[in-house]
Amino acid sequence: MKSKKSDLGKIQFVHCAMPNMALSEADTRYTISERIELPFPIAVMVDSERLAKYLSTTSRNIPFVSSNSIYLNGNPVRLKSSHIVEVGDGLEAGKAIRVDSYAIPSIKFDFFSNFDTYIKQLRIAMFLTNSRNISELKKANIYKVR
Amino acid sequence: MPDEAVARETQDRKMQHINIIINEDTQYKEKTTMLELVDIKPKKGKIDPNSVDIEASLVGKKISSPIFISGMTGGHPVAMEINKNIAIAASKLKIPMGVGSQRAMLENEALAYTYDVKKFASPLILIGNMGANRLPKYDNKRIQKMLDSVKADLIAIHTNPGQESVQPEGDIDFRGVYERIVDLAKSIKQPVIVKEVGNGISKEIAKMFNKKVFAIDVQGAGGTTWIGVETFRSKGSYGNAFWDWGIPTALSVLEAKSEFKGQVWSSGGIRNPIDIVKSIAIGADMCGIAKPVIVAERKGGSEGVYNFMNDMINGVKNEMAALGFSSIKELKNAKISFKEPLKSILKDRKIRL
Repeated sequence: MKSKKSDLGKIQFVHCAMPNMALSEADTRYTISERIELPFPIAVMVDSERLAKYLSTTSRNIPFVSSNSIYLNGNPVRLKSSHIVEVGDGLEAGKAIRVDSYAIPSIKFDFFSNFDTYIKQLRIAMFLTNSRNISELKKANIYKVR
Repeated sequence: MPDEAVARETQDRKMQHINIIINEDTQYKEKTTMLELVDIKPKKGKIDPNSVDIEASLVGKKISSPIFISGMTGGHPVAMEINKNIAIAASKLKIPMGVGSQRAMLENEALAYTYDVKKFASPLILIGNMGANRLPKYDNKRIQKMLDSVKADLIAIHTNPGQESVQPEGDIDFRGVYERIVDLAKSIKQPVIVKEVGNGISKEIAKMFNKKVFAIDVQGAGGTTWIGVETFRSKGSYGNAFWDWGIPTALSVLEAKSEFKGQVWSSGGIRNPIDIVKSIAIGADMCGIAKPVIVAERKGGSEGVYNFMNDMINGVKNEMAALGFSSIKELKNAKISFKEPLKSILKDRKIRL
């Protein structure tokens, strides 16, 4: 799977000191194709497709990715591998979405990791860029540290 | 929660903030102010520091230098002692000072004395303080009364969405806050300053406030991170990702200056005289210092603050003399250049001086 982590470190969101919204308004729904809308634009990466399918049926609403497929509620959708971007936290997930419209930010599977934390971080990134939804996040002001 | 409990919670939080800032490392980790990327071209020939004039004026009153002590605390007996000691030093040095958020006295009027420092130090230019997202909860008359009760000359409205986002009891709703600030600025006697608390002000936000408020205090990234303070307080993990969030102070001054025609103040990570000289050279009208002042106060009381700030003021004169500038006006017209990555960022952000 593709990793752009080092590049994402150079991307900085421009802080919005006066968002005209509440944090609770941040809508994380993410449409990746005509057929599929994810509840969150962050997936969990696992090694096998079988495990991804199994986990996605037991952990409802959390998308799992393996190889070139993403699973939500047990249903697979084929992806281009270049769209899967490994990220370390919810803020990096926001950056990945901002710089690549087709990105599926993905966190490595870890029994101790807390998916809610990543989503909370993504919501904060949306709030601090005055982005009510993912479409607005894709247009948020950024600068690159070269 | 009953009003009394809310007031006590606010009071306790103020004390926790002081302790964390003084005792823990809550500075930005990788991000700097970017002031180190600003170069000033010296004028030919050094001059005598005694001939350097850095006097300025604020709200029609003369001040010894364009330096102020940023508002930090209030609402607690210890905060009262800190504010009093800072006020005595600021008055002697003829520089303005701010107090911390006056929310505590709005919740509990008995705490007004912790901000009421003019009775110990006069003359003094005092900057009141109020959180932007608290404004919708109070009407303009109440805020005017709050400012008058401490004889504030100006008010800083601090906007802190980053801090609120990671604060356990954070108020994370900023809807209608901009309109409320604009309305307040039209209504009250004191000039309004819009300030951040360490994450900086962008040109987009500066543009919104152009001709609406008196000044923007950028409080940019590179010094104390309040996201870090709250992450430390909450012992939570999700705030760590945002520890270094924000617009570096130098970049933020340049961003604000490009769209805001009122005064632009530089603060956030100002630690030495050269930071002040560079801030003024890139367009700042005033420079604020916070953390080093509270550290000096805790070590040496009023005298500690006086000595620290006096050294800072003399240091500015020495730096200016070494560069060949005899006045603030000359320094503001200095030829400056930017090193990478600031140079490229300014180009990307379409910011021209």
